[in-house]
Amino acid sequence: MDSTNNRAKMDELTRRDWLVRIGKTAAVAGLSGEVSGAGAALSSLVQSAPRADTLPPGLYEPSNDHLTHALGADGLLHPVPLGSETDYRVPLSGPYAPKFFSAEDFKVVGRIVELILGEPTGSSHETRAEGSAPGTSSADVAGCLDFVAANSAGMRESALKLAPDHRNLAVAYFGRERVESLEKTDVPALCGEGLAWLAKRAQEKYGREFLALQESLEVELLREIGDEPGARAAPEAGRRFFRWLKSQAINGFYRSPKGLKELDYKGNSFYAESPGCSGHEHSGE
Amino acid sequence: MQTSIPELRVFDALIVGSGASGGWVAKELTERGMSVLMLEAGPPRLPTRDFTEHVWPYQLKFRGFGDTKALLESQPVQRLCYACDEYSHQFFVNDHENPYTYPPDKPFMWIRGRQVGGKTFCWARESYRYSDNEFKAASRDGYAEDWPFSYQDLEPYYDKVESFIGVSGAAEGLPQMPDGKFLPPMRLSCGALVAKQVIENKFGPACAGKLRVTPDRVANLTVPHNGRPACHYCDQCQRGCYTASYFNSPAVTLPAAWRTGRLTLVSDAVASHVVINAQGKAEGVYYVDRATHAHREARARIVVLAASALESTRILLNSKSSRFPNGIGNSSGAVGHYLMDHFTLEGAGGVMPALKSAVRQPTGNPCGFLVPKVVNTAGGPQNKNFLRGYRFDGDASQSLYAHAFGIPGFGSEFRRKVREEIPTYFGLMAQGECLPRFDNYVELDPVKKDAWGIPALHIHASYGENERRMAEAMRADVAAILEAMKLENPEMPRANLSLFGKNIHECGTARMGRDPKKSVLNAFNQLHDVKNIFVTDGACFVTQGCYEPTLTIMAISARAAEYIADEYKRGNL
Repeated sequence: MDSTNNRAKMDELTRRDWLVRIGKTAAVAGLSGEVSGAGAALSSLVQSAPRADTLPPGLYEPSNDHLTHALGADGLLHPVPLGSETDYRVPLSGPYAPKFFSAEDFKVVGRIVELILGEPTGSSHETRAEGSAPGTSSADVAGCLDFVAANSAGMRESALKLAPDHRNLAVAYFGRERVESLEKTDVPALCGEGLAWLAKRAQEKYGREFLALQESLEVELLREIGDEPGARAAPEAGRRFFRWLKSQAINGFYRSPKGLKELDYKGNSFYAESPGCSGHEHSGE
Repeated sequence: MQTSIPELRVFDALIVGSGASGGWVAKELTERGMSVLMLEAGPPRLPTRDFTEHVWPYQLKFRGFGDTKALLESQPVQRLCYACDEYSHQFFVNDHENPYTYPPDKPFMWIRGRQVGGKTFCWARESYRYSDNEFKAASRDGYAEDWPFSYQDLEPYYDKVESFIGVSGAAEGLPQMPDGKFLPPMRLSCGALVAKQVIENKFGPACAGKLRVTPDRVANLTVPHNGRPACHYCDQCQRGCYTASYFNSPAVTLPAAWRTGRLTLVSDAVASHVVINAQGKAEGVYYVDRATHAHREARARIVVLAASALESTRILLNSKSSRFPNGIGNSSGAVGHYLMDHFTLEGAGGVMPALKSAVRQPTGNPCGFLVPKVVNTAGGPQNKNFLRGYRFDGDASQSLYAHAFGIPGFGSEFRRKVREEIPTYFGLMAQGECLPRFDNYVELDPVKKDAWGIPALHIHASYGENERRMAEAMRADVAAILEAMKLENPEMPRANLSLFGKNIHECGTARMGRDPKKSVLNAFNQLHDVKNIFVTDGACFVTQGCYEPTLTIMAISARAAEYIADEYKRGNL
């Protein structure tokens, strides 16, 4: 019992604190793109590290504060330093400008993402991705989709240019199917054909553009290409498009701050002791 | 950091490589008063720049999925390693700068880390002692050779290494896998605890009570240890560890060596070959500056190769002279031969129905559980269909969101299910011993060279009949365990054995032995042919058992270093 209480306390003291801070960080970094403050905190951390000057580059002293290395003096998460090999930060500043989809298509994609994620939309038309404030999940997720689509052609090109021995190795490791999927999946075509089907279907079924439909009709249309049992047999172009959108929406959303919070994810955290089973949690089930 | 070394300075010892093995040799030699020069092929890593622990996926451009284009272009081999991703790719080599070749029908996956610390930044940290089940396996079943020492000889060095680096684990008192100097074990997850009950109750008695489920023995600190804080269970070990709560050489062994004032560390120094004098002894190492490609030579009275099994062997093979036309230390013809890497059966598992829950559990243990080998151990059940044996690794954890892909539909109801119907997934992997075979070998590629003009390796490696037969038994055991676990939608292991090299436990190619005609090194890692050259990494392994090699590499390195220091004092080197 003791250890259970202990852990509950740990959970209360560090995890909540950590997540609250991270929540703030995401908001700040996402909106301002400002890193100089945290960068300054980073260099001061190096200078203040005890005895660090006695070790040459490449050797290091353990930080004795579990949180210090993750959070700067301002309590914000250290960003990955600019220009380093690990500089893969999201360069977000303001609303996402689509790189792949046209403005009109991005609205459609944004709307479908809203429907997939079941975002409360009120009267649907006015709160499309374009009008959503950055930071709301579906707008962010639509940005993720666009980013993936924008990078897909280059990725495919690189996959097709793999040297034969490297390709052999990939086949031996992943299996032929996965390697060929990377080489063959044509995301621009998949999206183009999917959007074309959707536009055509909206016209032939309701005589209107997709974005002009009532929510119930949008949902009805999406169900035609959806993955629920008993879905209407729609052409592969539509169903493939839905599968792609849904899997990308899942990846985009559940890796976002809001998605992780919704999952109540309790990892990547700070625990005072091994967060295993206390032997009580599941005994009553 | 390219420190210039005075051209004429002759060090007591020169170590090539700064990882698990080199770190131990450096610490032990410097603490015994010797001056040591360490050459490391890669750059230094700076925690503030290169560690990505606690970075969240949404902070990365590719949300943690990686810049696939960049990986395909720069790291087409390394990217196959699970840890070479958007967070940690910096710890792995560029494959174009570091090529190797293999016959088309023998794919070999060579995962390499070149930096101060080598692969110790992203190793999986499992740390098991070998026993005479491994060291004396040949005496029991007649295949291949015994190691030139016994468990008793190595035991004090296991003690020493574990006590210094910190290994958490549970003492089990099993005769076939010795306990060590453990820090407290981590706790098993709920699902792993259920698995422990099922496996031990159902299968333990058939194995004379030896089938045991124990938390992985890992080089992670569960309590503060030697000035390093305890693990905080973020479970991001392969991204670096600012608190150094798991063992890596840059925060543990190398600082100890540095503080003696006797270590000179030169990074970005790509070793090419050992320089041999007219008397046939080593007098230094020839290397190329990684950045400028300038050619340099460093001098020492003793040369220790600790560059990883295949890299050290490559240096031996490339150290050709009229006296040693096939590379140095190769009068036996064994250099490059008897390459091993564990094979695994992967992909088995399923959902544990009783643990479906709407409540999220804390998570972050950087380990799962181990079922130590029982088959073909002394006093254990014997299976005559194959030699040697295997163990299992497993864990059970809640799905973060992978289950979302299997939930049909969309909208708020879909999202509610993702949130509230959290499955616990149980996974089980079997890892088996690879027999040492002469025809699993490496040689210098006659054409291909790396970015510094050093011949690349041509690697011939494949699993044989014994591994395939063992895999059948592994598969049957996995099936029985999955059935006993009463999983939902159980999946059997994938049909293929893992790719050779995939487990990054490559060992052998400069094996130890008592007979200079059959082996490269003596019992203290000294070349039979040249007494002032030592190879202390996994190249020295005679057999591999089914356990991770790093702890044994460190114990052997500490033992060899003690021998080197003693012999040096006596003037024998």
